[in-house]
Amino acid sequence: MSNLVEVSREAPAPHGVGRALIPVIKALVAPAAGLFVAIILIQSGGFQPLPTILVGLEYSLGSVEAIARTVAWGLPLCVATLGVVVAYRTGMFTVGAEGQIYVGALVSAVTGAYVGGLVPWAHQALSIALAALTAGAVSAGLGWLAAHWDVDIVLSSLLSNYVLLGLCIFLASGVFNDPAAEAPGATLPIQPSAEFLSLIPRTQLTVAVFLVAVLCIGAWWILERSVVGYRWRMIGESPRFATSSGMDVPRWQVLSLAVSGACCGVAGALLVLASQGRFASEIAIGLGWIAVMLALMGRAKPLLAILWVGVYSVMQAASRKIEQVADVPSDLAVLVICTILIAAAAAPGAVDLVVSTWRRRRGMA
Amino acid sequence: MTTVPSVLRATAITKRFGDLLANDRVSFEVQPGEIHAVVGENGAGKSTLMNILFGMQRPDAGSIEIDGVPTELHDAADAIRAGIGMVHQHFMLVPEFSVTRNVTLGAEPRRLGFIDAKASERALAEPMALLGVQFDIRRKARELSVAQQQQVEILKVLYRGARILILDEPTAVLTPQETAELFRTLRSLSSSGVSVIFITHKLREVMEIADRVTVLRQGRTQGTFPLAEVDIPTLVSLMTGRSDVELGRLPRASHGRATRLRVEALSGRQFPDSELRDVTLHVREGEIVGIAGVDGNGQNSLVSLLTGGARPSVGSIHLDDVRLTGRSVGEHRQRGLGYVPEDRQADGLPLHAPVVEALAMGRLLSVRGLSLLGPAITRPVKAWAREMISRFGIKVTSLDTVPDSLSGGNQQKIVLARELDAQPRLLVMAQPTRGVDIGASEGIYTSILDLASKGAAIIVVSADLDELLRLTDRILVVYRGAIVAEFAAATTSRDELGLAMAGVHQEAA
Repeated sequence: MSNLVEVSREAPAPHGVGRALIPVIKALVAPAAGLFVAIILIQSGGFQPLPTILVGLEYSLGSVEAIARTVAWGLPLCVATLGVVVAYRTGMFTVGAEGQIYVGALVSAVTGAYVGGLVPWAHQALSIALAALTAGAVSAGLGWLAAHWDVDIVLSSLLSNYVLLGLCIFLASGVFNDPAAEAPGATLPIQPSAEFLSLIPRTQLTVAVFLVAVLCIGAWWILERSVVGYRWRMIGESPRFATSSGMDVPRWQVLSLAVSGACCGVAGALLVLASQGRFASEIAIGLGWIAVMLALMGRAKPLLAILWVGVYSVMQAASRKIEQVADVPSDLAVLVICTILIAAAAAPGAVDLVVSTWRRRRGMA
Repeated sequence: MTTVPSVLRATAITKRFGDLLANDRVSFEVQPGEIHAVVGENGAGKSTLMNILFGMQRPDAGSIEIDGVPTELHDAADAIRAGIGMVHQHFMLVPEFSVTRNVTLGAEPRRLGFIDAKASERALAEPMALLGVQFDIRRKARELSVAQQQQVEILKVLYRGARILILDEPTAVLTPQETAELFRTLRSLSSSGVSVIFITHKLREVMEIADRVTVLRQGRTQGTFPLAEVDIPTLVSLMTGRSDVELGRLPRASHGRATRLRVEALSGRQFPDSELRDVTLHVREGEIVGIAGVDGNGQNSLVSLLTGGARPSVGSIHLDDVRLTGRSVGEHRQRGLGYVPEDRQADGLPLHAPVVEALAMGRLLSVRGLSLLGPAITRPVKAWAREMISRFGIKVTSLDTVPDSLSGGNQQKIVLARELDAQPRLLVMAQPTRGVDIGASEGIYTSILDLASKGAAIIVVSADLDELLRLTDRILVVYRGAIVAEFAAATTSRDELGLAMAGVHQEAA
């Protein structure tokens, strides 16, 4: 303890309120840049930015139904994002969430539609478990190739998206196709026993929210507190350190990708069982990519990632309303979040540059 | 001496990193043509001061004058323009480029927009004459010996017009003979008017080469002294603030008779080191065996094979009659191995994880089954980590301090604390006190001796011959992948070891 005391005694208090403000400014630059892009886009359509944004926020957060709708939309995204976070913890930069969500969605849709004679909870549990297992196995396979044969995980997971999407849509348009469905490449609707119980009518908010809450807490505990999370973190931080300490690094990396894939599979299952009621070829288009983006935004930290999922869900709901009332692209949320992502990466350097230039001019160097 | 104008004068330099005050009103000046040693323990602020003088970091306060003119160094390019050059401990040469291309890289003589190869070669003549060396400048960097590569690094700096040369721990990678050669070239440079700032831990080298020496302790200047006014004990007490540091051979209890580690006819390789060929080695309980050799002669292969990082092609390894051959690092550790890797930043530590997590790896590695889902950093683990920090004198502000913000010595103390506390039966250490303070090295040696007294077999691979001579019982010399000589540490000398390291022993035999 003596050493702890000794060093802290040496260190005088940081000087100046200005210095304390710098981190705050850095944190605010990115959202401000996002807001700026939103204002430009809305303004360029000839609409008043602020009232339009307020209408959008009203739609996403203005009532219990609105909040329920926003939360329901965000649940699969939340699980998929946590999945990506798990992989990133071990330094496995997979971008295969999209394909794995599709696998989970198709497997759960088929289980929900074709397996019968089960009590509801068992039917739901089986559908989710099979979705998790299948997508987890796919992801673990990619992890095995990366960990043992040094196959580039970014490339292999990127390509796996095309293979898996193509395969799922092929199966949904062929053997599992429901000719009566309006949507293209749709399977048979799932049986009522596989559907999650609705919590608030007309909002798609189901009891799945409890499942996701448990998953969030579990993910936080495992990643931030448990021995497993510690090992994953050490591997991501320094694979050589983990190796020389005696850890079987490939094995733990494959495990992290298996869990990551399983989460994406669950996300796909939630889309079917708690929302759409069947698989369709456009069921999750782009969701995996957004999950990758939000995991990066959250710097592979579960709580931060969940926070960003919340922010994104609100923005997504708002942008859908804004699209209706103003002539703004429906991808407003993606545009804004991409701007925030770039601005967040550039903010620390930009702020430092401005501050140091200002100090130099004032002769404070 | 004071009437001679300084080529470089740093006044009241202050630099803070977060809570740590790395330089606290440090003042320092260098005269033309002098060899000026800068000594200090780790965390004393030597590296920070040199990075400031080379423009790589900016001071929070203080001023720098070059030839009496106040100068602001915003980056290394500014420093180079001002005539300051720095040779880092780790060389930055392109292995496939010739000496000429390496030296002129980024500042090539040009003609009509193209690199002028002939002018490049001609341009090397002057710095080579200044340095007093002569070798084929068309050879590729990878074909040169370590000492020659270092000369190329110095040529790079001289080619850019440096009049003040900063050398960061230049002898760490050299044999005693190569060190002598380096000193000869440094004297030749200084007689041509080039000033040399020489950063080192090795006080014997200071006494041998320097004109003056500046001592730093805990970020403050303890003084600058002409060599005639100081001796090694004085420097040690200035560096450590203690007067009781012992530099002689450490007292050793006699070791046991039973063989603990048995290595038979071992061959194998850890790329890019030399292949180890047919090595047989026995270490008894409580015995400390040193491995000496010029870097790249098979030491790293030996360490990798002993710790499970590489698999032997032939031969066997037994620890207490338990076969370790071909097992993984984890299995080695379960069977009683402790390992202090050479590259502590890559292999020894998670640089950006809290210090408590870096310490706890050994404890958390044995967790199995459902406990894996239990908490990792519990209160008892934190209490234990605090005790380690206190026992090994690791200077951190809290358990959440990340090793990346610590000095090399403090980083090494974390590794050693973790490995020694596990009470291994075989401890393999590579460069255990490289970059560690004298005071802290004492503590580390005491812990190693303590572990040996409990019966552990210990192997120390070190480039620091003084360390091997002080600490070990026997010293084995590796040369081109084979053990070519064995000496009793108490009776051998640096010269004898140096000759064996250069292969002379073998060639004479």
